[in-house]
Amino acid sequence: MKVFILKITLFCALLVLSYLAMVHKLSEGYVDMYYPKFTQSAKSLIIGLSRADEGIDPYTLENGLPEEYNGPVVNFASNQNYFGSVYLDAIKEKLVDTGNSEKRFFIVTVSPGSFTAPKGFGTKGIEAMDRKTAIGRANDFTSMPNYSYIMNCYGNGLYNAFIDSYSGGNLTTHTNGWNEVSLESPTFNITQEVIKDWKRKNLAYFERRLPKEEVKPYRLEWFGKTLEHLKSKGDVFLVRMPADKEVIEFENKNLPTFKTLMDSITHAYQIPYLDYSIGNKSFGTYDGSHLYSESAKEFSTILARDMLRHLKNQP
Amino acid sequence: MLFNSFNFLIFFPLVLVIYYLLPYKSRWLFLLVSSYYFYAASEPYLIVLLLISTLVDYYCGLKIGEFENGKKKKAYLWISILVNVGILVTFKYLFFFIDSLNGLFEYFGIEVSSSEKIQSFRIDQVLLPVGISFYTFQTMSYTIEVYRGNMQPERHLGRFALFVAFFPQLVAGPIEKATRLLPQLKRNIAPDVQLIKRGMIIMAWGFFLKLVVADRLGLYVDAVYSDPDGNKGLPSILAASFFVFQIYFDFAAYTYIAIGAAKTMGISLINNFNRPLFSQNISQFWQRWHISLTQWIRDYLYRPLRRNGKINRMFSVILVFFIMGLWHGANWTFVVWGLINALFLIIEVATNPARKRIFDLLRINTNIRAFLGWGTSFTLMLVSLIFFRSPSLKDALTYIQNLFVLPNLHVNILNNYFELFLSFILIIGVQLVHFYKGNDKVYELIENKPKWMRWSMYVAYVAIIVLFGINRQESFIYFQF
Repeated sequence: MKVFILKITLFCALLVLSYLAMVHKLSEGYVDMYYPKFTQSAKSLIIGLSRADEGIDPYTLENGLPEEYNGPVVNFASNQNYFGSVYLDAIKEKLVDTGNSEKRFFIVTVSPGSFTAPKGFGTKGIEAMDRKTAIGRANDFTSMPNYSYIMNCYGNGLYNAFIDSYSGGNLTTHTNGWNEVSLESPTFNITQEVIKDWKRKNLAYFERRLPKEEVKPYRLEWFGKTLEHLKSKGDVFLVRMPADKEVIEFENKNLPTFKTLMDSITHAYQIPYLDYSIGNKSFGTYDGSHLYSESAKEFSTILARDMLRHLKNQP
Repeated sequence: MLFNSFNFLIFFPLVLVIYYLLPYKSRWLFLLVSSYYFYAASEPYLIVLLLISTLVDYYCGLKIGEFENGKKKKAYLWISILVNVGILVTFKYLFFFIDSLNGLFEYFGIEVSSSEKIQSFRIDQVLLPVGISFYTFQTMSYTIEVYRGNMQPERHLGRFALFVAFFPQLVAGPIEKATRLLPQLKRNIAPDVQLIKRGMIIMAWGFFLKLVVADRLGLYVDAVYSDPDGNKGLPSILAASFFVFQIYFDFAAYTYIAIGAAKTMGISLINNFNRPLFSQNISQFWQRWHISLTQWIRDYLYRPLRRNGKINRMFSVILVFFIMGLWHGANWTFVVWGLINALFLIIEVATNPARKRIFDLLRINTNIRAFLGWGTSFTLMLVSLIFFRSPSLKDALTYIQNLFVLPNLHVNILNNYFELFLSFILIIGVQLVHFYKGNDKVYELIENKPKWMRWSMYVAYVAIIVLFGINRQESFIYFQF
């Protein structure tokens, strides 16, 4: 029996050590498109879903704002980050404590989809669902290398540590968390025809999802709590991201009260609401919803300009 | 607690060591506490339902045992059934029933009240208690067996509670009969290195199936099913085929880990699979797939319901498969999946003599017959499982339409041909092992081999798990049932 226990311990030790070695090896190279969002603490944050993930460049923003706002600005938006207790906890972990002495800003992006969850899901169900996302699984949001992220959230084989899994295609993952999508790459060009096709598929996806999802009071409640927390830390800007006309029309048709809702929230929390879904200026998307590289940079410049105007008007 | 979690990696060896260190008399208590901890690790309050089910069936079992015959005996059986089915309906099906009712009202344009049509019946879906369908069925089998006089009621509440909550098979089976499991839980088991080794090899195979194979196939399947419009033609055919293997490997993986874990403690659990994907017809498939559930359904539903005559038997089959479908999940997709299987089975039985005559007439040899039978069964399972996997009936029908949109040879939505190639190799490899060793003798891959070969295999196993394991920490598919 003793020999057996010794052998089994040896086997387990070999397994665990090999695993840890591979985790370390992977952390030395490219991990995945969300990894940089988890490897640094932030002074200012961009919060929201995938439109913000790909549509707001923290570097351009920083350049357009006064120096006092400089500091690690991290794009902490991703396609699974819906408002809820899980997201707020992650935001709290992510923020470096500056003791209210420094100027910081928070861009909270919204769309009707930010407040939805599957029909019939109660609080427990939504929380359980959110806990399965990367921000729900990760225990560490600020370390570099972030072993916790790789062990809990990395969804591929660790053999990728030995190959160059960063394809260098249309997606560029920046260290500040921004995921930049370029229309051209050595392997694939996103032509107008492709954009048209992806937009059609996207709208079909929204149509399919519509009967299964609904706006949840839980999401709205935690959205309020998130704004409250961020307001106590710095300047908060509520932003509705731009998208193609058909997509915005689809959203407005299915949640006609969205504008009123946002207006009442911004009024209640006394924060500016920058709505880029309206107006004459349009920004190019690669699928109807998400801005591509050039338009994201342009949008970030305009956003910084509008934020600056609001900051100057502050008492 | 998930088997494929770091917590289990610590929990299980600790339980095993302490279990054997403890004197026989206190082992049941330790295993019971461990099982409750295992269950409560994710959602502690859901353990209340497990306790209710345990206490009610313990009491009913005792009461049923008190009476030889008569109404009172039957009344206690019905209490047990109603409480268990009641728990199941409330926590698993209530939202589904109300949602379906609302849908029906909406379809016919009926206004429930003048101010708020349809939306009047609103409840929130409660969090589905993990393993509820498994442990309610297991504990119901106990009262039914006592009622039938096949066993004496268990007087030791602790041991009975352990029978209901025994952690290796608590959340996804195999659904054990009390007549099999309860006596084993009473035995004084001395540590047997050979048995522990065997159990661990079986568990290791289960982990390999889950981490390396099933979850890898899941990446492709999930990607295609989440965007069916973007993946018409070959990708949808490939994903539908992968799903047949994914669900089998995923469920088999859980079963291997459960069987292996129990074996290390000297307890033998029923084998849930017998090479189901090598079946040559649908009836054979159902004799080889999720054996513990099909046996439960056969013994406690089909046989009592079966009446003489072709039509009556047909209705029994439809009813049984309707329930089987509903057991899997509160969604019409599962019901349709069950009914399609009933239909396949009825057609198969009805056309059997005619098919045999045609084959004889064409002088088709048995090997070709077997191959044709396998191909047909696999294809039919593939189609029916599209309903099983799809979120709604509409999605399932769209998916089936997409199967026929050809040509679309761009199969590689993951932008990684190596992963796709690896998936094929793994499917073939695992099926070869199952073909030669069956589902019950995988330990023979290592056992009784020369030392150098065993250690080479251990090292290879470590390398494969570490390098090619997909650490999604996804729960097993059958957890949701």
